[in-house]
Amino acid sequence: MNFRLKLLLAMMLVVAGATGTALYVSQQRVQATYQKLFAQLSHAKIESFTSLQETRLGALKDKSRELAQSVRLQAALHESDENDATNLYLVAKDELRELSDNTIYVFFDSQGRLLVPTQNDSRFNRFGGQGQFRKQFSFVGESLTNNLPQQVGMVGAMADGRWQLQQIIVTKVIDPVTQETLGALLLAFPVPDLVSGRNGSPSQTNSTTGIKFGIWLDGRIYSTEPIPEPHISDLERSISENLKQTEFLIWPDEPHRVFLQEITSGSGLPAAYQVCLYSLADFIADQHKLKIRILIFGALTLLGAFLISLVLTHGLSVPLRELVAGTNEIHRGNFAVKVRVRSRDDIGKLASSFNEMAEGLALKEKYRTVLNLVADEKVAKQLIDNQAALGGELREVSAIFCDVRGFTALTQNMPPEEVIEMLNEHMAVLARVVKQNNGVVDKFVGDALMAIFGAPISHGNDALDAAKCALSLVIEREKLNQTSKHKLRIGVGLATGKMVAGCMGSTDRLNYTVLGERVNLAARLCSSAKAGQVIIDQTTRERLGETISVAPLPELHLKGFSENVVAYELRSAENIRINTPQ
Amino acid sequence: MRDKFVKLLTAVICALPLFTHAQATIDGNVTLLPTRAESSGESRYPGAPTITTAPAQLPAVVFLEGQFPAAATPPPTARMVQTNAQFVPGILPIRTGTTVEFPNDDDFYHNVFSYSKLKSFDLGRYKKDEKPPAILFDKPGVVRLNCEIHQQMRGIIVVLDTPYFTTTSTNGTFHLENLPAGKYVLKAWLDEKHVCEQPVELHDGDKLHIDFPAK
Repeated sequence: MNFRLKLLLAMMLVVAGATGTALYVSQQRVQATYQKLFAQLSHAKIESFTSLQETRLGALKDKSRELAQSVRLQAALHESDENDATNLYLVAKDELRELSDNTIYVFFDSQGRLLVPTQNDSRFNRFGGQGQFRKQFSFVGESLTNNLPQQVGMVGAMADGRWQLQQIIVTKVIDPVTQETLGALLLAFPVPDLVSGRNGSPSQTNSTTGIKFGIWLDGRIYSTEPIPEPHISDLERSISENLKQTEFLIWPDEPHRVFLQEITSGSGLPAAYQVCLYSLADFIADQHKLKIRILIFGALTLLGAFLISLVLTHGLSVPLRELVAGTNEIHRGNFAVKVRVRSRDDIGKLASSFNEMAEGLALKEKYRTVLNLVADEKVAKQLIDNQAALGGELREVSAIFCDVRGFTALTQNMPPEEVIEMLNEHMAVLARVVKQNNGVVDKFVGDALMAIFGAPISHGNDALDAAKCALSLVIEREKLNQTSKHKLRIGVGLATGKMVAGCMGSTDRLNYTVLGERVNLAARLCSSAKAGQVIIDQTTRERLGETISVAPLPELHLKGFSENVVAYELRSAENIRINTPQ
Repeated sequence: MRDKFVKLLTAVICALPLFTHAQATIDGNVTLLPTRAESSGESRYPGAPTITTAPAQLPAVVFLEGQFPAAATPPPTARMVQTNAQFVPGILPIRTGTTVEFPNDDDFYHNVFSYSKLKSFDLGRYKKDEKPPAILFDKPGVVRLNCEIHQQMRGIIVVLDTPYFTTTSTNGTFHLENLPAGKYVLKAWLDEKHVCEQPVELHDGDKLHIDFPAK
């Protein structure tokens, strides 16, 4: 995956992440705001209903208590039974004459039995008749045994084909002298504005939006506005299942939030809950709008990010590609490569550094080439690798000296250019031979060449390499003579022994070479050699044994050596053979 | 003084037919109902005198039930007095046909009424020195009395079809004498829900001891 793609992906991920986070946070905020609003509205609704109910109920509760303490009523209740309660209702009618028409009052005896004024009394009609009333209010008998002097609650009543919510007040009638419960007085009046939610007309079937308030009682909803089927059944069922919660959601297709608050009622009375129903349609619409806006904003940001990434990656990838190409060129050995510096930023600095590096490499390569030219390749490598001991080491080395016989005379009248040309041709062949035989060209001194074997590294049988090299030098020069316009003849001296090898000189100018008596010996042997002759010392002879064939020479008296030196003329080494010089 | 005379006369009249025989006597004890919680005694009407006298332990009525000839003369008038914001006596047994007067002995108003099925009446308000209203109780049964002004005032009139009755003392002892020989049922009435009874066969000169409930 290239850099541009990565950057694009990263930018898009960041933008997508930021958009997602913004979406999430905003959705949460909107939801929290709406939830708070709903909760406040719901609380206000419930509060207002509660206070209205308190106002409505207050006077009636007081009136009930007062009536329950009335001597006449208590006396009448004491004397009444299921068969005859006419007098009781007469007394009560007088006491309760200021009650509104829609408030009914009913008495129960101490056993909780209903006391009926007359068999066909119309007051039970709103509860679906006397039988239904007895059934519905059977709890009054049980409530007489508790300690609550007055209980307030609600019941649902079905009459004339419609359900209506009735507020009831059950007040115990207690004899103040004996503390005996004589019975109970029940007041009931319809809760205004609340009817069973199913009573809606068909034209209102879509009215599930907006805010609704109602009372849930006994699995039935009584609301200010009708709620159409099947929503009302769903709602009634959901409330029955979620009575322990204060709020929950309903209708996933058309979400509404439902708030519940239990209305404290006396024991034995059916529990009623205030219900607030809020449509989430507005909330969802707002949330949807916000989502769209954020997504559009996100998409634009993404596009912007994409374009910016393109520009940025273009500004990055082009120089990078050039740098990659430049690196490849370097890899191929083209140190002359240059990349274009397009900017002053980090990439520009990198390009500049690259160019500097390439220049440095080119320079080093140049140095290496020069080094290889001025020093033997192996020595140069050792120097570069810092393996050549600056201080020098004592090791067995075979040294060869080779020079041209009669060089001075030959070049006396020769133009310098031709001398150089001749020497270059000569030395090129000799240097090649040395290299082929694992030798190191130590130096060229005029027409002479000094080569060493066994330093800086040994190749095993260095003396043999040197011997073969010495013979090859003679052979190759002879071959060259056949093609070259200069016919040169060389003599070669070879000596083997312990020599000091190392880089010698100052820290800023070094020369890898070998020093020692044996080097001088090789030089002296070279001087003693005739054209086409190779003279070796005693040590070399001993080292090589039967691998070479030599001819003994008379002991030589050499300059710098106090004693005569034993020397041999080398004829052959392994399969290399030279003719005896004439 | 006049009351005593009337009582004596009643006793003499009642006892007349018995003088021909030796009479039977029943003594005994009735375990009375526990005293109920007392009311605060608050008046229903602000400004009305507040009497905090607790109602005394109601005695039981013990009577001999049987077939007795109707009284030749109306029984003497009985009295249920309102005094210290209480009915005195708290429980008044009378024979059927007895007229009861309800004098107000207090310096304030009372309003005696009853919603009893036996006799429903409302005597209204009257002062101490006014002529007390009187009610004739011509059927047997129980009449409970209330005062509309004073909630704690409770009175009971037990109308009986027998001349042989008495109220127990506050500790429950009773004494019935001059009882004719024969088979009867002795009953102790504590309230409508608590009526004890025991059949008795009396012979002349018997002196029985009967406790309710039987020990």
